[in-house]
Amino acid sequence: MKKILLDIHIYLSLLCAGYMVIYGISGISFNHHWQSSDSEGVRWEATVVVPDADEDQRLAEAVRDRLDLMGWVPFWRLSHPQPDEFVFFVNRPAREYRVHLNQLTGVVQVRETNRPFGAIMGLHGLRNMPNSLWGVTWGIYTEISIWALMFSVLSGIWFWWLRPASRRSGWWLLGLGSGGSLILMLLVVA
Amino acid sequence: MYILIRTVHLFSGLVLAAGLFMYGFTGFVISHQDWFPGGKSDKTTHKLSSEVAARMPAELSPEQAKDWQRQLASELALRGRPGNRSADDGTWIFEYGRPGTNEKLRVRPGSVAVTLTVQSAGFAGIMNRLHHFHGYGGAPRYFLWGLFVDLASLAMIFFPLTGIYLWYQLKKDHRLGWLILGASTAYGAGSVLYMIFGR
Repeated sequence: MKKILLDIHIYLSLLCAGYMVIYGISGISFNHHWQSSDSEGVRWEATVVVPDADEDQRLAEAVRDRLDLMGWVPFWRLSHPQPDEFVFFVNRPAREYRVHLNQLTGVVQVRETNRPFGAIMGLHGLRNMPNSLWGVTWGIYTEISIWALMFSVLSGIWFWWLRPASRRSGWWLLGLGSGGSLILMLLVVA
Repeated sequence: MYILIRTVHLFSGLVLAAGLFMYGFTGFVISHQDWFPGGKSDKTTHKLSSEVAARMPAELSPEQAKDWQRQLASELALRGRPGNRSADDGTWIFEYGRPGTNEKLRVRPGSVAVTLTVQSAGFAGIMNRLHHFHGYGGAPRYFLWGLFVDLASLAMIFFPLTGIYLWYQLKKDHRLGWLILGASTAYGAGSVLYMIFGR
């Protein structure tokens, strides 16, 4: 039994090792409010058949789909600088697209802004992404990694328990460390 | 060396077990919010009286605003990480945020009457905010929480690295491990690069 659980602990952890490192780096960056610096990317143009849409959000998402861009359209960043002009943004980890649509001609001008470090921060907890099959696989990987983390913690505690020589010192560490953490969680929430 | 690394892996794991499990569990709740109750917040508004607000001057520097905010918190028993701003109508808004609860106090300096709006989330909402609560600002408990987040994040980097060492020392046949580690590393690194350089 121990050997089976140890093998699962080891190989599941190897499977999710990279994900854990991404989580760790992004966790520190969130905690210290690190921001990814912007660098101007490419500008390009395309022409689309302007979709019929009864509201700006749907129009933006339809144009995004026709341009085959991955990412989300924030609803608070839609604007019409001039009649028949429509500007919106598409955001995804590491990149932002500013899309300017001429609603009469269908000409689209796109300006890309790159945020390389945002790739790591954006992957934290990402479950899926519009127009991205890769996003679906990352969502599956996220789910597996969540289960792997919880299993690794519990199985790790069980492996410790199987070592009588470590129990006394382990109880102190579990009590002070993990016990203290639980008390802190209650203090923060209460 | 193996015994040392294993001991460090085990002992630091015991210290951070609750924290790591919390992040895993709250991450699970966030991913499946529909499965859990209490995802939406309830909002209630209360009209209160405040002697502190009555004494408050209209113009406040940032430091003064923090000080008045502390006094208001003490008088009205408000708890949470503080934030404040002045509104266009001459009122001040003092906020107190903690996982699952946001208390917003609107004060007109010189007036006893204040308005308190409380947004409270249920279980899923608390788990969500607990997972996302970070930074060092506020009362000592929030400073400790910031430290806790850093330690948990460092653990997420540290445990895989020590674990890889332990696997390599423990197992004689590394082929399966290399296959899994290689695939996961390639997928993770490839995903980062795809985000940076992809379409």
